[in-house]
Amino acid sequence: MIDGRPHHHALAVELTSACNQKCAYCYNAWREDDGREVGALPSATLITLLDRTLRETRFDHLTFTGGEPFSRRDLFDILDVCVRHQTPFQMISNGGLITDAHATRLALYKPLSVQVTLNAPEAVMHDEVVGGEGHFERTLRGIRTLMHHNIRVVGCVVVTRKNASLVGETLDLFASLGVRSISFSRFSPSGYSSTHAAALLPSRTDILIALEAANARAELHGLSIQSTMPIPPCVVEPDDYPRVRFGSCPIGTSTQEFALGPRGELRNCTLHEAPLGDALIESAASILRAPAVMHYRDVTPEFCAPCPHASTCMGGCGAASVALTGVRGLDPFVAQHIDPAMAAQLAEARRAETALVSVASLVRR
Amino acid sequence: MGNEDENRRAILARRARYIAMAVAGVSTATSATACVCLSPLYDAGGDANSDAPIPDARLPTLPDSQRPVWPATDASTDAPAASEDASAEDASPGDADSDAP
Repeated sequence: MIDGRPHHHALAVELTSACNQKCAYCYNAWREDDGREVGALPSATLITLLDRTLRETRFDHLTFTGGEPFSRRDLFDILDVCVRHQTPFQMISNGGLITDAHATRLALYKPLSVQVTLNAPEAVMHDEVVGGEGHFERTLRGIRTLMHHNIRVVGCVVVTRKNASLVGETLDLFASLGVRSISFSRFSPSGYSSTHAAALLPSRTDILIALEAANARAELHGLSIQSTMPIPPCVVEPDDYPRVRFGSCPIGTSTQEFALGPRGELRNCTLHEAPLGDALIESAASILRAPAVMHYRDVTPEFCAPCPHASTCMGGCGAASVALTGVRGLDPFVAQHIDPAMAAQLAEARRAETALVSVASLVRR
Repeated sequence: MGNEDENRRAILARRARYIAMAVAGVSTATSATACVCLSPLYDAGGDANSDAPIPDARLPTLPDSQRPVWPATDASTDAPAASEDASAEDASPGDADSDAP
């Protein structure tokens, strides 16, 4: 409790389901139809909801994401809520819609950072994975515009089976743009991206290659690199990559980032689809004490049970496991190597070029 | 297939080593700490390797006079319009060519 309000670390606010890109690795469950079915909360409703949430609950910061947050025309009215509550915020954007006018105005709000993703050092591969031609150049323009206005840009690389060998060159590009903080986000299937798991899920070997390059570029360019998806210690020895900081799943800990979806539903994180409750009709403060939060860490995958790291590692990303298998178990990133059934399914899906999870089976929230 | 076998062996060997160390009472801490997924690392204390300082966590107060007019965005053409997304009345009048506060 701080100033009478319960305190939490972070809340990711999915401002809209709309996006100008359609990334194969997108974790939004509503991406298949470009978010048309889910939509977004009307301006007044969202502002009232955020205002009430921040009155009831203190967060160290908010993370505005989507969809693409810059596709909301009332973005700055929403940021005004943070100003009123003196709540710092950061943003996740593809950069493609950011104009000089946006950046000029955004700079006044002093965002902690804007995270922008590049998946390759050149247009063809980047555009292929984000859903169309021209996005690479638009994203570069957005990064340059933000940097020009002294807005801190955090570069992100989603490391997949397709681009793992290009991570070093992609980091070279970020460095040439003046970006020094990097999120190393190994692909984790959930939501829409679970339909692309066979094509994108990197192997341990892929991640070792990417981490080797990342560690070297961190040294070369003075980059600060954070692995922003859990990479279990049975897969990788963190000490082999001393310039990369590793993390584990924060759900149920003091560093959890909850998610507020585009229909007002609160969830355990942006990757988990199951709602904890509806913040439009219930107090966010009480929803965030739900059993699904408080007892999340009670579940341990069978493979991990005897491991002394189980309580912190949790077997990797539980949301990815739910997305591919329907239950909280071992992260598919690990399971692909130790579970013969998962390995066989992946091999067959890759051979036949089919999806492990069908679009039709995506949960419609 | 060679890599597959090697990956499986490496994971099982590391897991077995951790379990053996735990049984022997040897500490097995890793440097990994609970950390928000997918978001940039929030570090109010600053980032030693970053070229730009992390902004002061206190947000500015923006008097109305400092608020720029709403910058027009190409979202309406580039982004698929969500049915209930920010409607016209949600946005202040904008000037596409103006980037001045």
